[in-house]
Amino acid sequence: MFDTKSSFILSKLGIQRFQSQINNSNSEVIFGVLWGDILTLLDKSFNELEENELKLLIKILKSIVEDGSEYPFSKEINNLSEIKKKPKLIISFTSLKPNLIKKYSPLIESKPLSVLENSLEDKKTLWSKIKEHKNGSSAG
Amino acid sequence: MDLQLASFGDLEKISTIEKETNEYPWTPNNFKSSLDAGNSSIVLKDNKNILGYAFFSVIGTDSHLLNITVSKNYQGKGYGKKILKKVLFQSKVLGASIVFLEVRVSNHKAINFYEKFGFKRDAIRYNYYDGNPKEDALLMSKQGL
Repeated sequence: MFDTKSSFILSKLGIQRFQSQINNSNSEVIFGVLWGDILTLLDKSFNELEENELKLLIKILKSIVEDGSEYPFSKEINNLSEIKKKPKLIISFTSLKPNLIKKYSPLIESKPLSVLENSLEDKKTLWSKIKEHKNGSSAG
Repeated sequence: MDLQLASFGDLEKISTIEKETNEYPWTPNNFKSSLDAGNSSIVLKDNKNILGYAFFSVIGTDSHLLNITVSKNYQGKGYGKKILKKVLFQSKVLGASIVFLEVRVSNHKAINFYEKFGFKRDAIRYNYYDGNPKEDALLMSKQGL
């Protein structure tokens, strides 16, 4: 069986290993990581993140969780059907979004980690979205 | 007993300790490259005897603990704590606000040690360490130095 990396490489070659199922888009393949009730969507498999990208991702998560509290350990998700509980927040670092992802709002969209890493402007944009979300959450 | 910066003159002794202590040791060249690259280092010495050491790299607000080892003969005496405490302090002085590290998932003793220092488990890097079989790495970090 092809693993996530193979799927990623094939997708880069323009070969779609997995077909989207329009009637059941819950089965779409994603590069996702669940951190408790926060889902992050990536543009490549979690294991293929460069060290700096991974560190940046962790710092972003740490900025979201309540001060002093811990986020649960990461869990890779390659299919929306693996999500048993509706995430409280989705942060997407990819332009490739599964059809049904919007039903899981709130959704924060960001540039990919590889871009974000070198762009202060994009980091600021993401941070203001996170801040907005946090303010909204605490108000609600 | 005191904590000092590692010098090239310490590398022979450090490499010997490394070989005796770690199943997957850094090579003498790894240590040399680390110093050449300008990474920070701390050696715990008792007179001329090296009891332990740490190598870490600070870039911007991130510090990365690359290697921390206490000589086999001196383990269990709190020297590791002493060294790590200094690493955290030095990282802060150098401008870091977070320290990252990777540890083999099978190294429960080390994971427990880091957790006592407030490091949190962040993520698993699959097949990160070479070997047969390859081993996963646990990425940990400590914020708020």
